[in-house]
Amino acid sequence: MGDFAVEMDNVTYAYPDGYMALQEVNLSIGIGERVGIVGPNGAGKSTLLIVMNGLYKPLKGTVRVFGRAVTAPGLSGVRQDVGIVFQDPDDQLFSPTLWEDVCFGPSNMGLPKEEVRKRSMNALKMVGLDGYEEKPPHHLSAGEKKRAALATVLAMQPRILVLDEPTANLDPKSRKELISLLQSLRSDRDMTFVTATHDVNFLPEAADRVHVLNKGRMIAEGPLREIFSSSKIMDEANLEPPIITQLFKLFAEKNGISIESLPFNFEEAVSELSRCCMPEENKRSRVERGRSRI
Amino acid sequence: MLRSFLKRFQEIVHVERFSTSLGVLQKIDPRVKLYSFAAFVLSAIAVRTITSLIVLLAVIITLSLASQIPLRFFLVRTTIFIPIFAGVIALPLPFITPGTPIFEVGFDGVVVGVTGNGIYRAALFTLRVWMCVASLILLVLTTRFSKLIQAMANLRFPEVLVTMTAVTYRFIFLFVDEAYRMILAKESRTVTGQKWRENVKTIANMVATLLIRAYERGERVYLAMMVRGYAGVRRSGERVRLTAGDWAFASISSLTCMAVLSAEYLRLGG
Repeated sequence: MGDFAVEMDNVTYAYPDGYMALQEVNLSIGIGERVGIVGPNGAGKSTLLIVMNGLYKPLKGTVRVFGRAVTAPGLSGVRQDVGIVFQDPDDQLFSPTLWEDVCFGPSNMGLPKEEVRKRSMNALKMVGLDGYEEKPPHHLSAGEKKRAALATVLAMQPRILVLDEPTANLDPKSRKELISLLQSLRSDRDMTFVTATHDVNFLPEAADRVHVLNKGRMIAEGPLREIFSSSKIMDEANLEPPIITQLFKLFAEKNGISIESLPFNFEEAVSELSRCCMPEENKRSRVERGRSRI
Repeated sequence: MLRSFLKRFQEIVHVERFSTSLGVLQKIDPRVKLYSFAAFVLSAIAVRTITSLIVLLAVIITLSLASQIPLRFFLVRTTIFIPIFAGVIALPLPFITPGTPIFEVGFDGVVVGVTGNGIYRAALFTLRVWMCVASLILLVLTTRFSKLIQAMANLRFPEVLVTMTAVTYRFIFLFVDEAYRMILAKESRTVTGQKWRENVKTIANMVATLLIRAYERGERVYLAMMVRGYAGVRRSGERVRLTAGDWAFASISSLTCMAVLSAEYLRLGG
């Protein structure tokens, strides 16, 4: 039991107007795992994330974070463990300057001033926004705002990083920067990642295992590859496989080629291409050319 | 019309370029500025003669010049709000103040007398509003807003007031942007000119939508604050010691206000 970062058992959540946002959701996320929550708009993804943090109290069922029930007293510990980066950075950045915003979390944790300063400085450095301390948030670009929102959460050093649609509204360059930032975070720390998104092209970079949510119910769960390969699940969740996967699928069907495992990102696609489509002699001569260079 | 108003509003509120120039007021600690400008505004409310108000206005204009703010810019910026706020209240004053009428105006068979007393009161009121607005604008122009908020916290303003001011400043631009986009979206679909009545209806709908959006955003912002451990109290920033210049400025502005007030009461009393 102790090996899970998050456990949800039969969780049902209804909004005050009676709308059932989550119905009997079961989910468990191991420590250090990278999990994606996918599903169409209005599936309950964002609600699920907030319930995970203990801010929304479930109508039924229990939520545990590192073995502790989130409804128990001493909730602040759980909030500290689960850092949520909201979809709209304008919801998250509410202070007159970026520095105050980044300090907000750690100082609420009751840390000594020096520690607050150190953590905030580190968090800003991590996201590449050091030097922006005195900037008012409304002067930041969308990409910068997103990274700033991430810094406000990183400064609290959460053990679980929860991202709600992290790539929404970003231009390709900002998107790329955010993805490499998240990857560097992953290699730096022993953090658990939970990412809610319907950006399927981004998902392979962010998750190994996926939970599929639709109309408040968990309809499937499994390794990314398995979920993406099942057209039944993907249809049900209003999703499509990544564009590169679709290309390979179509190509294989048209030409009657069988592809062992469909690629989900460019790296996989390139190795698949060189494996099946390059003539043997060509491959050999390239290897030889490479050798002669050495 | 509404679109240009919003654009203008953004420009007016959104000026931070003077807060970093090296004038007199930019060097004064925000706490001292807050105190001094409060004193100016309170004096402007307390005095009853046009002369005293002109003296106070002269002080403010001198300060703005000393803070490297172009005179024309400052005058335009401070008077732009006058017709909106003061005009509505000051306009009827000449007609409704009792006294001997200087001349009479007739509309539609109804004759109304304009009294000298009334004109004086209207002028006094307009000047007073101008003085107060000019003080506030000068304060905001020469101080970074974040420093102002910090000064409020340091001076032990109520927590709720400080947080509300900070959040209002942070989100006002967002809502103006949102309103602007809504108007653009509306205008892009308005081919022929709308009837006045229809137009009012559309704008009322927009205001309502904006209100709901603001409410929903408020909820989300609060949630995001709670996630980061907000418990109703925000820590205040570090304190910095006041310099001799700060003390001098505070004393000079206090003395100026006291001089204006006592001159007036002595004169009125005498």
